[in-house]
Amino acid sequence: MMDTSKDMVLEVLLDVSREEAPDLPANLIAAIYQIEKNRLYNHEPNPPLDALRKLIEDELSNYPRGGQ
Amino acid sequence: MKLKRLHMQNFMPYKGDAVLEFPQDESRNTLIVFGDNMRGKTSLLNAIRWTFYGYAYGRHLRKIPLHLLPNQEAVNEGNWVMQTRIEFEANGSQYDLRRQARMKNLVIKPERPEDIQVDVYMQKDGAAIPGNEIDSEINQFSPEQVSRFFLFDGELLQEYEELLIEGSEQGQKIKEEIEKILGVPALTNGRDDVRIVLKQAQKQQSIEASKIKGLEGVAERHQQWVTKRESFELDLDRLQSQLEEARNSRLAMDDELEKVETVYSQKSKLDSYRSRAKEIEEAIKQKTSLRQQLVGQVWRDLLEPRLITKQESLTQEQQRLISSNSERNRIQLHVEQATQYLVKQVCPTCGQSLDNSKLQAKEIELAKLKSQLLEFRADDSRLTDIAIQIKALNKVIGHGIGERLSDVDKDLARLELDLSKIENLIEELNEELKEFDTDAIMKMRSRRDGIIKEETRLSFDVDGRRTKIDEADREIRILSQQMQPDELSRGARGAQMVGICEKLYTTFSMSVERLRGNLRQSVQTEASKAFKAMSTQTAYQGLRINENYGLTILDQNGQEVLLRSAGAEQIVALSLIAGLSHAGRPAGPVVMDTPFGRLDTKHRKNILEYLPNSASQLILFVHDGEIRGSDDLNVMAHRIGGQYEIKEISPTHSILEKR
Repeated sequence: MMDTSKDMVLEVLLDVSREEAPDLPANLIAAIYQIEKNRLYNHEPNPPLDALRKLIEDELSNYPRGGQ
Repeated sequence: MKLKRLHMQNFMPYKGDAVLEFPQDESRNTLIVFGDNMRGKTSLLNAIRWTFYGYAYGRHLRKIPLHLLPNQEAVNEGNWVMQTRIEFEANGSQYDLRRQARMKNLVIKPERPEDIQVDVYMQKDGAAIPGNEIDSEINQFSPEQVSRFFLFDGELLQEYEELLIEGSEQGQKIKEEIEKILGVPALTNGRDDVRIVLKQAQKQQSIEASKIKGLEGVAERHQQWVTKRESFELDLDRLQSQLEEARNSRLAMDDELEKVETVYSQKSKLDSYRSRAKEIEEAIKQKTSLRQQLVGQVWRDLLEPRLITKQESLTQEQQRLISSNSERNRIQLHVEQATQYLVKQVCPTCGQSLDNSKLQAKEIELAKLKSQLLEFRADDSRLTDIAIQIKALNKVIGHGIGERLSDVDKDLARLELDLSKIENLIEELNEELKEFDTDAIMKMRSRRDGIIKEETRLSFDVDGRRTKIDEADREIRILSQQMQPDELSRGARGAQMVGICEKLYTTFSMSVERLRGNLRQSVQTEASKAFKAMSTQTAYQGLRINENYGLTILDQNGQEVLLRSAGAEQIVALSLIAGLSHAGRPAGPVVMDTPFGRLDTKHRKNILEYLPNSASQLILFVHDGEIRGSDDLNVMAHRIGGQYEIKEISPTHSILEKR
């Protein structure tokens, strides 16, 4: 039972993101972290690449597309 | 997580049913189970471990084969059903976890783990959880990898020492497990997974850039580096897999060799005895040969008294002859001088002619000398003969053949005794080792040495490939940045993906290091607090953590204390547990088996006072020697929520009784 009231790992991740990549959305980082955290406790052997790619592509959908 | 009840049926020494109720009152959160050695304290720890994770540890943290877990008396009565059940609360839900083992159908008598069928059942708030989801459910609140930090065996204490040894393999493993507790792998996995997505995006970027006028050259170089990196990574995978294989083989051999370490040491002893036996046999051979020679000369000792008499007589005769010869020579010289005197008739001193009276006197003296000379018989041949005889006697006399023979016999007796003792030892060792293939063990040791060399070579190659990959990464990043402005202005998806993945990769990478730093600081602070609360040495400043989460004591001047007593080791280990607990370990109970073995009274009191505050529930399995009477218990009396005693019915049957 992890203490979810204060997730030190996520806090560090968001702090670093604010300093090093302020334009990265916090919800994207938090979502990737959550996927990895779940994978850790579910003993899922395969990297959740599809889920990660989807999250990033969703984020990219806010970016201007080619030819626009 | 809060444990409520442990129910065992035919588990190890607990024949039939045995129940342990855990304290539920937070202010009285400590349960103490007393039991003498060999009664079943560790079996209680194992019952919890087996229920959650399906295995139990024996000595030296070796897993106990499943078919040896059921109670022996029950088994002898034909009952092979063993079951444990833990009721607990976690994440606001009520859980009931049961693990049952029984003999498989068609098996007459289980003789190996495969002969036992194990079934696991779990209910969450009264609803059954499918079997394939049970492990995952358990890992949500009590990950197996971190169980060592709350199912705490006294034997584990020594392992924490490994954390202080830079480069130690065991230390590295413990470090990884600590980092699992602290959540680091979520970041390292995130970093590694983002890198995979980044690499895919970089490929896409190359393709897109190659179609943009003016970027073809950069795109080609970019593509070449991407291809090179792929090749280095394939190489790295291959080398890492070979390294892993070599390491696993070596670890398997280490395990095997550890098991037969006694055999190996006995085999070395046997070889040394055999070699010593050979030396003794050779010495016996030489002494026996010498003895034979001496026996052939013993007659000399028998004749020696007479020979000595003869030697003395000959020596006396020799002296007499020598003295006589000397006198004769002297007279001879005088005769020659007198003869000259008379022939020349001149004084040899002044050269004047001699008168008749002097010549007559000289003639009389000469006649007298000649007469004396006649009394000496010239017997040079006798003198030579005596010298030869004395020389021959000297060879025979004075060698103490008897004494030498006696010494040789004593040496031989001693050597025979030594040989007999060594032969007995060899026989005993041969008997002891006859079931083992000692030559195979020696070969395995030699193979292990070869694997270690191979590991070193592979590690070197792995490092080399990593350097090349880093270099490729740098080149790709530079080229990527050169292409990005043009690509982004055209809204190229690959370049956008690369941009976002690089930021994510940097964020995750830097977070790993920052988190580790923060965690180390946090563990160090909390462990130091715990250490100061538990240690009797108030002057110590606290603890310092290293890269591996190993802790060293700092003295009053902030210097590291290099030599630590066994008791101090224990307190440092307990402090680490406390530090981890505060720094992010899943909140839950701490179960400790025989944790106070090496502590003095004062430290024990300090720890007993401290521990109930460091866990949500504290369960201690102790023997009377660890917690002594009311003195120790008074310290924590207000925190004790229950006490049990393990009582022996027979050597294979123990029961739990409430105190």
